Amino acid sequence: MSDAISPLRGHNEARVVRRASDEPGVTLTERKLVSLVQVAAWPDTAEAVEGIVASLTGCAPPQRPSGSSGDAEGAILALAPGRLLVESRDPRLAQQLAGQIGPDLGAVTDLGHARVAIRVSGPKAAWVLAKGLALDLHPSAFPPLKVAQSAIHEVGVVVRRLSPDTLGDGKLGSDSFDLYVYRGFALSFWDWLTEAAAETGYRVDPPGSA
Amino acid sequence: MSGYRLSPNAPGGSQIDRSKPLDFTFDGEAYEGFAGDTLASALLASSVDLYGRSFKYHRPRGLLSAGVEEPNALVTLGSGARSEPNTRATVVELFDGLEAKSQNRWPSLGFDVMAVNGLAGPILSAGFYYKTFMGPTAKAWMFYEHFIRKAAGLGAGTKLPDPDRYEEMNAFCDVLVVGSGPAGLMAALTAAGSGARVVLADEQAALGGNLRGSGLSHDLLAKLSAHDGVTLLPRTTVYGYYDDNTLGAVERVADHLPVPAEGQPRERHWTIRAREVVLATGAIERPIVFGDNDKPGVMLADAGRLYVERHGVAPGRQVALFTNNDGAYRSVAALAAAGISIAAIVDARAQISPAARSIADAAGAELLLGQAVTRALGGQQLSGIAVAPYDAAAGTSVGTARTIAADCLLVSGGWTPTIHLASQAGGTARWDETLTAFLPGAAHQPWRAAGACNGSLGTAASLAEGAQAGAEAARACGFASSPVSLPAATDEPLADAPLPVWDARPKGGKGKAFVDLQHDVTASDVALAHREGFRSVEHLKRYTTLGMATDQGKTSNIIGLALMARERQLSIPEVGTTRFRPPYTPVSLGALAGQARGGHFRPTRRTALHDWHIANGAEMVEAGLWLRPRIYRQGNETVEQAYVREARQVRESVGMVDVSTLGKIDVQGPDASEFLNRVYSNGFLKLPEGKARYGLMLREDGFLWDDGTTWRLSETQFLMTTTTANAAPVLSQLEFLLAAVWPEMKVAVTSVTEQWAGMAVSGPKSREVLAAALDGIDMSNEALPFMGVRKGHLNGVPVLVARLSFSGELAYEVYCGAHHGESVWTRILEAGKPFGMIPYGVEALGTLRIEKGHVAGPELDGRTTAEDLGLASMVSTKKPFIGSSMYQREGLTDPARLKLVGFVSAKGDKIRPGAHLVSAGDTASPPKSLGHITSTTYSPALEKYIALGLLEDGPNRIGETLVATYPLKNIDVEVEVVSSHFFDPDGSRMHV
Repeated sequence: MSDAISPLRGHNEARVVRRASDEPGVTLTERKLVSLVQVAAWPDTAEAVEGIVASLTGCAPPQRPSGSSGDAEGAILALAPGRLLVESRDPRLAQQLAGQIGPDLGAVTDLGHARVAIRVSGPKAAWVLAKGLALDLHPSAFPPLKVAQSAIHEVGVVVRRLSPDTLGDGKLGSDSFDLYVYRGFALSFWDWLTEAAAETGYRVDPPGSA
Repeated sequence: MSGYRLSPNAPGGSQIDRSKPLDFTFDGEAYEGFAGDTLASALLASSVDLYGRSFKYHRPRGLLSAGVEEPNALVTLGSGARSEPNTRATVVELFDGLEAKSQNRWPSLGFDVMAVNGLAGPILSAGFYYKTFMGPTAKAWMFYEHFIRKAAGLGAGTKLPDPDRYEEMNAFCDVLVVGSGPAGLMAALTAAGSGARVVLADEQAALGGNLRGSGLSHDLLAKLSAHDGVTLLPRTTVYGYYDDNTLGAVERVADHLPVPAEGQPRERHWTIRAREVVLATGAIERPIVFGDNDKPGVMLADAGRLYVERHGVAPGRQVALFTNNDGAYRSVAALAAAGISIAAIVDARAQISPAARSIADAAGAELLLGQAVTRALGGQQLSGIAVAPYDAAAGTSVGTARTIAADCLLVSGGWTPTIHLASQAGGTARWDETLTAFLPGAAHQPWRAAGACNGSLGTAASLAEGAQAGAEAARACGFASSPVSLPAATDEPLADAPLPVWDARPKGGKGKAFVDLQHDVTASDVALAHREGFRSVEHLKRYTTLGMATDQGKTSNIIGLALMARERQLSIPEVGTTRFRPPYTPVSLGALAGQARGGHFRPTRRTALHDWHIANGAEMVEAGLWLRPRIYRQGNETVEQAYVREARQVRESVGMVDVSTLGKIDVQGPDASEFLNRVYSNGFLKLPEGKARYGLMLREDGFLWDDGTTWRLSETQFLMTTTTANAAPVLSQLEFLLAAVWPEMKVAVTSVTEQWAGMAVSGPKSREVLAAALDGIDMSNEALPFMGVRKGHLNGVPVLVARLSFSGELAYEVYCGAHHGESVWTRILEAGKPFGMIPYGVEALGTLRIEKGHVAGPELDGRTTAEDLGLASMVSTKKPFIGSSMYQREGLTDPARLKLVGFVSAKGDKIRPGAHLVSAGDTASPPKSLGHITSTTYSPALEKYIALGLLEDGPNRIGETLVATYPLKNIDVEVEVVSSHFFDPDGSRMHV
């Protein structure tokens, strides 16, 4: 199969942009999305569908509303009532979900090419994101594993705050967010993000390393 | 004058660091100041008297204040692209290498030719220009205005691009405290102590307000910083109070530096969403009007104190004071302590407090009670004052004046609480007779005022009020209050009961008496406005322009009202007050724009093939937020030559165009086909699996809305395509219908526009090309018939192939996962090499569809019906659908409606889109429009310029000759009316 090409090619390569002698305030990484699938349940099948998704991915059902569960291997994000965004390192995820969730239960839509995933981590992660995100990112209002759909600079994003407990793979900074961004807007968003991070300095880790 | 730097041994100078000298220039001359100086304090320390020329009369002006209220000392900072006009020298923080220039003077600040305006003073009264330059014709004003504006005015901005960056910040908190004086500090500390998240913002360079530099403020700030949930924002002006307790603020991140550090924004705009707000915005001292009260050397009393205490600068060598209240004696005390000679204290009151008297005694100053300053004396700077007895009952001075020598006069007419934010989010301001000032009205949003802005001028009272407001705000957010101990505050004389003295001149007193210094509005202008019948404050303001300058009348509004009240013989609250609008102080446009500038004014959307297009010479064109290839220019081709070549190659052999921008919506569920059947005007129930169908969507009002093909991928799954422009609106409409109209339907809709890269392969050789490139699909006409949809692979990448044609040729659309778009695209081009396959852009795409008479955006303009465009057969009469009930209404079935037809240029001239169609013999002006041209192109197939258009009674006019007229450019083109199906009307080319 031909290689997949990221819309951030030529922009997402590793580098460090330092301010004075300070350590960069944030680390930006394009994550490799193997599988990203949206699952929509009907009003009377939401629980059953959530159960199927949880058992297929091995994640706990996400705390609703706007919660998430899972770790580096896979995650379930509750986007809206009856709507889940499921990520997995298993390339067969869409097929497996479609196999178990028929039209009587809900709809399975492959979004593996429709989004890019960007991780923003480090002590200044919330500060940088607050430049565009009109959401209260204080941990009391936006605790780890919380998910929100919002927009940054008119680009729709899904934001998930990570939990160091479940995703403590040693690469997470003191504070980390995963952003899912529409593919066509990815470069425009990346430009915004690197400009917003210019103040605190930033490190770009190699694509796929987070 | 007369200002000078106090010796390091004198008390004061709390904000400056004498070990850090800074060099700067003013009007090209070199000066020195210290870190912690403002531009004003450093110039004052260097004995500079003149800071600017006035707006209208070009009178020399000095420093009036030490804060944002400054009306006189407006300067242009920096040079080149960083030049910024109209900054107040009183709030500009000094840095090494700062360049400042005075404004509104020529050739120099000391000698200004336009100062002759001052001699014409009696003529240049309110409304003068409008009255004088009315004639001789209605357009005369336009002619004069240019010269008048040039003579008046402020500094000039630069037209160079701004080299700095700006950004936005979103903040959320329980309690926002605006202002960090005693009330603000205590409010923030109390709220933070209860556990609330607090933001404390202050416009000054350091926090502390009136306590700046004191031990008490150090103490309170240290305690505040110890709390986790506190954000301190110095250099941040909260300028506007908006709905839902949202406030706008600007942080001057780097304005105190020569240039922003790498990556640092110059300014940051804060949108602060607070649950509760404490307004501790303080108060601004106001002057008293007397003759020539704008003379350099006349300064507000508290400003004089601040220059001594903060910057170690004496405002003069022989300082007089003119006051109507006790508070101004604090300035006497401060100046005397610093060893500055006090020439006289002129107090309009007959009685003063013992505290005030003892300060006067200690200063050794002559105390003139019951007297007023009637005129400032001197040339370009103050040399003395005229003082006469004051009759408080009559409100004027009486008797003979005596002269006192002074090079600086400090004036205090009482204090005006800063109620701008309260007014923006509250009711009408309340008049306080004792303070002679307006106080905040009823709160319309969750805010409370504390301290001087609430009328409590003393430090002790402000501390207490602040603590209470902070506790109440925290409690309103659900935090239990924890008691705080109030720090002790020393007693001080207060301006809490000023004698109302507005205009201290005797009747017929000499000299110009200014109310609004920045706009040069005098007391006689207010009287004139009254004589001419302008009774409401709103009219007074507009007629005289009082309070309408960049300072928005911070020192003049109350005096203007008081003078109007005197003219009308009413009380001030009866005359009324104007309300305040944001911004409190000017906000730079850069701060409002933030990162949304240049190419990032709005985001750009790129297809998966974007990089390939650029690398292969495509010229891109905007389509909404998307960028699409317009043409792939070769050599010196014109745009027309390029698209003609591209379109011709498609008809002759094969070409490929990026159609990824089309809206794509995944429609799934047991009720999906029923749902589509209700959404489209034509039938969708019986569309077989593996087939696509062209569908029309109508608006509820029966007009045509959108079109596209929808592919049935399985019994319960469809892939809907929409036009590029309507992708998002169609999705929201579908979501709305499912959520609100038919919630019982089990259908899920999801945008998959970004999931798929789409490419249309068109031309007689397209089948051969795809047969070579694709695996697992039988491309024969039988196996993949017109409108058929198949799944297959290309180099192992899963693809969807649909046999659709927009060009009228044998054609296919190939969809693949977007990340594979580039490799699929290049593989197909490679397979097409033997046939001379080319990529083509949207210009050629347009040419091909116009030749076929296919409608697109220009025809689907929201005013056309299916019938207008010859698509009536696609509107079902057998089922209801969105728009069906309105489709047959009178206006939409009127036979006189414009109908789609084609046009061919009769003599080979280009036809302009938007041209109106008129009869050749119509000599009326303007001629009667029979319709208009919507889309035009040169047709390589017909070798003629052709067009689509909407024409009255169109189909019946086929064969007629009309004129397509474009009066804006004087272009008339003779056109022949033809069928809109120019090329291959029976579709033989695509059904092969």
